[in-house]
Amino acid sequence: MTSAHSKLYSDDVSLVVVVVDTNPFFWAGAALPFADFLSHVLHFVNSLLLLSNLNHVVIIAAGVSSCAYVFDSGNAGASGAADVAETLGKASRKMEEFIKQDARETASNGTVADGGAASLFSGALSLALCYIQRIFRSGTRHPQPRILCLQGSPDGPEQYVAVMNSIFSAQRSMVPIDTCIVGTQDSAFLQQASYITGGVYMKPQELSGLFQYLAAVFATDLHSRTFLRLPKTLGVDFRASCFCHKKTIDMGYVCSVCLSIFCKYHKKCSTCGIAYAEHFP
Amino acid sequence: MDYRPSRMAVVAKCAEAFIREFFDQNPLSHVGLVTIKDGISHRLTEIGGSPESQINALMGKLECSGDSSLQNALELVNGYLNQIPSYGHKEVLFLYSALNTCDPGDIMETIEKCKKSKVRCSVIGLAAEIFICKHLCEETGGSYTVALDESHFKELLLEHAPPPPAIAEYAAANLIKMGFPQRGAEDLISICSCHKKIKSGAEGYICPRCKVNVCELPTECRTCGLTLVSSPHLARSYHHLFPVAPFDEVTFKLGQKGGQNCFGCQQSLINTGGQSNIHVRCPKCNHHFCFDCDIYIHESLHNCPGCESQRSSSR
Repeated sequence: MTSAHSKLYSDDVSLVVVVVDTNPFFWAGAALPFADFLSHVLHFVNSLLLLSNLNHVVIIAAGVSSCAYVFDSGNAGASGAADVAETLGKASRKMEEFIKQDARETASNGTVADGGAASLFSGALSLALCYIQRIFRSGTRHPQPRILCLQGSPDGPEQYVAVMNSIFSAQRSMVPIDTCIVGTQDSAFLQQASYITGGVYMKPQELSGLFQYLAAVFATDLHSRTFLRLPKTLGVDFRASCFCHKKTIDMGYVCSVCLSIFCKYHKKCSTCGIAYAEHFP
Repeated sequence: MDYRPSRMAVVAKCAEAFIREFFDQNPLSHVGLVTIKDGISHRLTEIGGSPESQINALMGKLECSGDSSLQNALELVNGYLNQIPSYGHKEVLFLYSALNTCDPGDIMETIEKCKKSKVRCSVIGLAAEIFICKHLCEETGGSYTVALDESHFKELLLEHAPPPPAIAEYAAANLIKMGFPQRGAEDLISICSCHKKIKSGAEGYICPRCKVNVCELPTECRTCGLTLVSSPHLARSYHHLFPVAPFDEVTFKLGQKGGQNCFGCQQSLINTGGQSNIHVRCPKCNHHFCFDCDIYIHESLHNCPGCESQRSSSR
């Protein structure tokens, strides 16, 4: 997919919406402590703001029970972009508040119990896209938007439809979704997201050098990416999972009415309840 | 007043925009192009599932000459559409600029034949309203519209992109066997079955049944006939199954959930410009949104950010 070339955008001004995974179940057992991770990310945000004084960065946190905006460089005030310490301080404080609030909500909500819980990634992605639409409405000369996802928790299969809807909306608005996996397992949702929208998917091998990976791969604006050799993902898994067992299949049966996927032939569709006309062997 | 630079050029350009929008809204559909020239109907492109081949044909040189024959076009199209399986919805869209039709036989019989094969015919006229087109559309259940100018023509054409409501008796439900191919291994060199060219395995997909290399999805495997799709193609239609509830209009109250900013884009909900302070609220999660986010959510995103940002017991 080609990048978003358009005469309406100023070439190297970007709007980066960073979606940060703050799932406490994941960070409790992660190799890199959350405080170090956050300092890598905030230094990266500062370097983005220093690249051009028109650059705009927004941070959205995806927790286990809620999502919220944590930082917006547009609100920083007249000298905000130049005052590095102030930016860092504000963002850290807001992030701490969000994590405490999220923990309170998780504790009061009895449904989240196990350690394999996914963060509310679909919610954060939807918020990011709404913000980007607001920037599109702000006039003809606006920055080129992109989304950077820092994900560590596993994918929640219940979020599949919502994540796919967000991916298609991003594709239509020509917003690339970049991914940097800070956990141990690859994320099938984010691989598909980056492939479909034309973004970069990367899983760094050394998490202690995270800032270097972020600055080398994800800091460039969309126009300059055409001149760079960025990491390419091979082998995006596009196979579907069947609705009955949730296992990945490479050949299956699809209901012609509701498009639900089954691994074996059934006489009736379990999603839409329709009975099938002809019988195939 | 008339179409510039020429009617053919305008129609080709609008048809290209229509094809892109059509495949966006109907990812598993097929489109074919047919031209009517000198009273004879020609097939311009084969019915295919990907927009590129159709658009390439439209960008080529298209010439107009001679009379147009509605009956010949209908006979040709009927022949192609008869091969479509019963669960598919068959439709013809005419972009008709002529003021008459010169037919070799009885066009009423052909219209009856189309009606029996359940082909829905619609016409968009560029000149004036013609009785025979109106009759054709009425008999087969299609829509007949006449464009007033170029932008109206584009609008009428794009109205045909979203799928029409299907009548249950017309399309029998079936379980269709489909394959979900993976990308081939990087070091595998094979000949792709569509263009008969040598391709590295990483650029194509491997059919799970007969292991042949195909270039793009969705397509039908040329060797074994299995329909090949990828899960994003099916997922594109899931938003019809799980639509977002319409938002309620509310006025601003102090102390409401989320404060005075729209939950989606953080824009202030209080208008100081003298407009009344109404905005919208999702009935399920009670988050407040501005009107622009409301339009975006319902027309393009199909997810409520508020509902997605909450872990409800139904998850």
